[in-house]
Amino acid sequence: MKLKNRYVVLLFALGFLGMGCNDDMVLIGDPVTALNNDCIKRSLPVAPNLIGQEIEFAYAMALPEELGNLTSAQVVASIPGGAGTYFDPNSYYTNASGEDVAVLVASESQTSGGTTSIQFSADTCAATLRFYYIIPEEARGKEVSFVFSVKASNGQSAEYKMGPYKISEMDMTRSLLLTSDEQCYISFRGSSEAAVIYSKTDLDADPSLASQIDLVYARHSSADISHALYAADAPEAYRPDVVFPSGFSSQTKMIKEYGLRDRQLSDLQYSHFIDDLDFETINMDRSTNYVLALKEEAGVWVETADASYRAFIFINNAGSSGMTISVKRYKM
Amino acid sequence: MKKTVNKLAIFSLLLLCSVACSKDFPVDEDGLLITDRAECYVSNFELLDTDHQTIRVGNSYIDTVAQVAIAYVRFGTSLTDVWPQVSLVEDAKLTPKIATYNGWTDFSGSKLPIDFIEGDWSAGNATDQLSERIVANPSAFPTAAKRYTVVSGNRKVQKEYVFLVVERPMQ
Repeated sequence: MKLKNRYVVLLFALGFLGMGCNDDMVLIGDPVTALNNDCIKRSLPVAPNLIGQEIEFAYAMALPEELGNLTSAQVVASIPGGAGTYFDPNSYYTNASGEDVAVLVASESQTSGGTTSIQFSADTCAATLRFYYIIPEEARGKEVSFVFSVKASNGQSAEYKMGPYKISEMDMTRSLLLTSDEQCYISFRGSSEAAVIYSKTDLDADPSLASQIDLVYARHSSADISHALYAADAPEAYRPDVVFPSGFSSQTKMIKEYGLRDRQLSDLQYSHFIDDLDFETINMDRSTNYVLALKEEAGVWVETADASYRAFIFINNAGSSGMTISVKRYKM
Repeated sequence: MKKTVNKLAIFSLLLLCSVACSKDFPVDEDGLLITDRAECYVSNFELLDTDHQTIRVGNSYIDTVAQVAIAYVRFGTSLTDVWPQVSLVEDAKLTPKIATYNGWTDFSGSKLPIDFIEGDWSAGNATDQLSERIVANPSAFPTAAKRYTVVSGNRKVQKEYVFLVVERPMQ
């Protein structure tokens, strides 16, 4: 009996030996024999693309080591990017603590017209470069698309198309400081900025600016008023000690909001976005001509008296000295 | 043994039957149950600003005998677009209804102009002295004040409430 058991074990062992050393390793899928590329948009897909802001891409390219190395990469944008459009000459990897570590692989990128190109300086057969496209004024309301391409030392090339991406109509201006006794006049009629703050000094120097003012900011020690915005027709009872400049006549409409936290206005916190569509569809019928007791993370929808602009003011910070606001503005 | 089990089973089934078919409350035109309750009153009155934050200071004052509800609001609140919320006794309903979507209502007609005297306000909140003085003088109620009718759970009692808004002096 014992002997029989041993035979069986031996038989199995032999069987395993025979099966164990069967095949060589097999690749899953086709082996890579040429230059390859891939691209992703790193900026959030739902985020409105605003003039002056960037769209970030990560462009990956690689070929088998024995075939050669990367020589150059380029991207052609359908609308030439604004100043500051560039390829980051570093390739990044993520270390054990989750940080991105840069490795310099290329020389500084060159931009001419819609084409941004970069020459590889390191002998490398694989790299991921980040491309930052600064949205130019010319792209407002249009669509922009990109063609990424790469060349290798063996003469091969590869191409990757991205887009089209819709560029927003609206403007954005961030971190404007309002103070009750000086920087207190807000205008939404500036040509390039979503909002412009005029100070009392500016107005003394040029009284004609008063006609450009849409809202007056005031800070009051009363808790019921605290941080307030007034249009020219705001009731006098609710603006104690606030003297409007002569020539200020804008009957601006406002709707008070709270907790509408736009990611772009709140400096990349939260995950809501105010887009062109919101300005087009907001119902301004329930507007008032003054808002009182504004606080941090509150906001105000605004429509200028002639209804040519709509804006959203987000309050980043409201302290004893004044408030910091960020504004998105849409031309109707 | 078997008999006892059978008896028990039949008894419990009968019990279930009697529970199941107890009362079938009829349903009214809004799909709400018409019940036995005859109580009919407002238990709370709230007003929200366009930012969905309350504009009330302190508690609302509700006099269920005089059928008056008073909300005391912050100085400077615009009353043209506020969203009223009225809490009622169980099973009661309100007419006209307050919309659940876009319920913005103009309450400026409910604003009661009143001269304040010493002791009307304590720590920013209205005192009973003020509320009782307002309720005692119905002739001073604005004619455009909002009125809503509360209908009891059995739909047999109806009480019309006057909703007033009093603006607190600047704090």
